[in-house]
Amino acid sequence: MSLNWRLLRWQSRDVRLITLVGLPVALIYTLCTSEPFGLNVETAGWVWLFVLIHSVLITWRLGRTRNRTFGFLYTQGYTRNALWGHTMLASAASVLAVWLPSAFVIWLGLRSSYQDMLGNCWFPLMGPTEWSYPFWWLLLYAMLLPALHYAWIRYAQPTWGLLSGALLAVGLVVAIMSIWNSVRVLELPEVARWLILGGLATTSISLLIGGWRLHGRLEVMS
Amino acid sequence: MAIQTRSLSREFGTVRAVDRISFALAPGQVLALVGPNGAGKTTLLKLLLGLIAPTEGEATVLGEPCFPPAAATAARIASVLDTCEPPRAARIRDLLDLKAGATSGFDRQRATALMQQRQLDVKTTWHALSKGQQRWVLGAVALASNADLLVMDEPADGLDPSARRQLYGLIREEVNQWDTTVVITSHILTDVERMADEVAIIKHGHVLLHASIEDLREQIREVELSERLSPDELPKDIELLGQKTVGDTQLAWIRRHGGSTEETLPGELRRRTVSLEEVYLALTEHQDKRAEILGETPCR
Repeated sequence: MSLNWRLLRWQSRDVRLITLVGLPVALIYTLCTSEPFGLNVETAGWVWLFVLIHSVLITWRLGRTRNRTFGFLYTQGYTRNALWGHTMLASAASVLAVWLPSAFVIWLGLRSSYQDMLGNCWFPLMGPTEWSYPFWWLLLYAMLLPALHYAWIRYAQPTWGLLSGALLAVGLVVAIMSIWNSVRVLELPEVARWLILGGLATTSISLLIGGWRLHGRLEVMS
Repeated sequence: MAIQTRSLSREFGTVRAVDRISFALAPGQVLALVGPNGAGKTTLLKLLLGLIAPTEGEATVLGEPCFPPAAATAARIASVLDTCEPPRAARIRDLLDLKAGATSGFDRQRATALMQQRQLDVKTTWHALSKGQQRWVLGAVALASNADLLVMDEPADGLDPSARRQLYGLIREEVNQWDTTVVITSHILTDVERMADEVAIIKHGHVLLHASIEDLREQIREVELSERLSPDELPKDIELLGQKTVGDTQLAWIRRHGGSTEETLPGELRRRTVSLEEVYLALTEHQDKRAEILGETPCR
């Protein structure tokens, strides 16, 4: 599958509004949160909620198989592989557009300077230690998006249906959140941490491959 | 064959929208699907386009199975479906861009010229177009795709008579020049008669009649009879399509198969050739009656 800018631009239209709203929200949160960032649901609840909502909205917008515009796209002569590949690319583009500015706010020291300016006692102490958090946020997307995309593809299969897709989506999201919270990744020895990350990466890649395979049999019900 | 189906069926819950449809269509032919609303025409088109899976049977289009849709045929098929439309905010030029990205054979200049023929600016957004203009845009994009197969669901719906005639003329031109195969649905039977090579009348997911327009003219007759016709009285090569009582007389529609002669039927008063519209009405309005006459189970 080669990159087709026209198709990518078309599919990105569906997530444009979400991206445009998500970008300032993420930016303001990153800049204005006075507590040091965390990784678990208790310490980074808003980040989890934001990533979850953003991922669900992306999946919903790109996977409305009963929508007339979805049917239109699927009758324009693109192969299923091209459509699937560009759905993933449009998702990634929306994530990057929302995530990258926030990441730069941390990496360029804008967050720590701003908090320091406000007299926040954590900063600049926390500033240099927060550089890795954007990567963890990206990892959350990398776990949730393949799971949710897989779920809608499964939902749109000829024989399985809504319940199986919805249950799968909820199940996968709950499983990911539970595993993440129970193992406390940052507190683990390095080897164990990489093993956990390897397991999560394998799951995400498997879901992407599974989604790609199922997408070939997706039913367009518009 | 450009299209071949065998016992193709599709169920939605308990409803069988397409019921064991088998037909073949040679390249360069125009097949018109006609039938009442909800007959299963659009579902059949969706099956041919590989948008939905058959629950039974199989279909091949351009030599490849319809479902799952084959990558080899994706860009060789252009379609206009009544149930699919671009986003409201999309401009005509966005549609041209999208199509150009899918197929290298897309003739953008031709598409633009076709828009200009109807005074359509490519910067116009979809929601600013009238229904007829939207249909014209979709039809023009499909025609400019240089596809081997055109699948069009009521492409002239909402078009004014002049645009309708022009669109059908363009489709016919495409067929004559490039041997393009066309499957089209329409409720305007005079148009179908003028531009199609074959017609299939569908009701409740069944094909009630599939014939070439030429055969239809030669083989189907309306016969006025003094008494009700029993199917047993008919010669083997004559099929009773339907009949109804009008005052004191009976009207029956019959189809002669093969090279049978115009043999007079028992109680026949007169007979005449019929238009596609009359055949359509005979089949779709009296189909249940026909089933009753022939002892068949009315299809649902």
